[in-house]
Amino acid sequence: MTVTIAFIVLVALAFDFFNGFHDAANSIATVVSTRVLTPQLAVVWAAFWNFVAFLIFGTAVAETISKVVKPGVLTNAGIFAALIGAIAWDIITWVLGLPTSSSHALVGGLAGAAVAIGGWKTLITGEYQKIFVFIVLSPIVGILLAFTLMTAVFWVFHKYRKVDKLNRGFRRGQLFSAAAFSLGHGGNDAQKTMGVILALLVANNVVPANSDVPIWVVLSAHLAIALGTLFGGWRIVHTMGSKITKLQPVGGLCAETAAATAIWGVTLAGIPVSTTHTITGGIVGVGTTQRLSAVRWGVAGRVVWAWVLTIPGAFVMAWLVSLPFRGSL
Amino acid sequence: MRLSRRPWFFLSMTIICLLLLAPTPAKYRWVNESMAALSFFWFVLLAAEELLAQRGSGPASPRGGQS
Repeated sequence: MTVTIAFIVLVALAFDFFNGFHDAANSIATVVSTRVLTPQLAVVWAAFWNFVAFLIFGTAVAETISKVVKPGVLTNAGIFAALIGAIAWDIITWVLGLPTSSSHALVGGLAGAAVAIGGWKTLITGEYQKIFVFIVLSPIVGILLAFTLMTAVFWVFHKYRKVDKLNRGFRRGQLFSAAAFSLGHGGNDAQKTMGVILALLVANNVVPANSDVPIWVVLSAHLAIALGTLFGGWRIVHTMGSKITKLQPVGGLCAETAAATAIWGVTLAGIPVSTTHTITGGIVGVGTTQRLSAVRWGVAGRVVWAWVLTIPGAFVMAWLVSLPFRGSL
Repeated sequence: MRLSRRPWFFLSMTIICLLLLAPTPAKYRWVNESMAALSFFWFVLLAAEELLAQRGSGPASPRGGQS
């Protein structure tokens, strides 16, 4: 039993690693595309802030994730199938170069495994409703905050003539906005893995049902996501940083600050959102301050399709992976 | 007088935020409300700016640009 638990914990941490790998692009795409940091330095910067996020955020998101399925439904094999389904979906979208959401892949995977075990009634609809609403709301929040911030910056600095000095200031500022975004990413995304590991430990009576997340789970989840970020996902950096709209340092700063503000807010409120959705919204919001045609809507549209397909895609993957285990579920 | 797509983009976000009010849990409705208000503010501001600019530039040429 202990070996099985340890193996599934390792799979969960592998998912977390891949989450960092996949989403590294979100944390660093703007600092790399505006040439504030070299790609190598940018990943180290993001990985560091991903790791130290555990010092700031609680575990509210982890608790939400552990509650999307009725207690007692997911056994070891079910949680394993959910993780494999989510990882498989992440790999497919990574190969296609699409910035999808690892978070929603996990939620879809958990749903797929739970439905394979006990049918649709095992899902807690209230939690899924909250997640679905914020799938749509999080990019909108990113767009509006980034547009507002960018416009405010234009208003404040439009008469300032020392453009070089101003650009230098914004480039330095981007270091802080990237750090804030990476903190939010570490805080929100690492907690999703913590939620799965907590559910596993509760299912095996390793910890009581109302237990807090053990500190070793918190540390290992943050370490895994930080290591994943360190290895980075360059295909998606390209899509996020240059294909959606062309960014200047001021644009990168505003997009990241807007996204970081939104993610910090929802993380503290315990809502699992996609960091990818939010930063994409931020980048679109910055592009919109020029004109709508500055945003390459074809690429943004592909991103939206990836969002729409993530939960159903991971659901089907997890459901398929569950089939061989059906006897033991 | 015609508005470009940008003000309509912001108005569409207002509508989406308001449509999502019903499924949003009561605890989080302030997010929809504040975002709907913000996007409506930008719709009004951008629309007013475009309409005033069109009025200031006099009768538009058949292609909508300045003669």
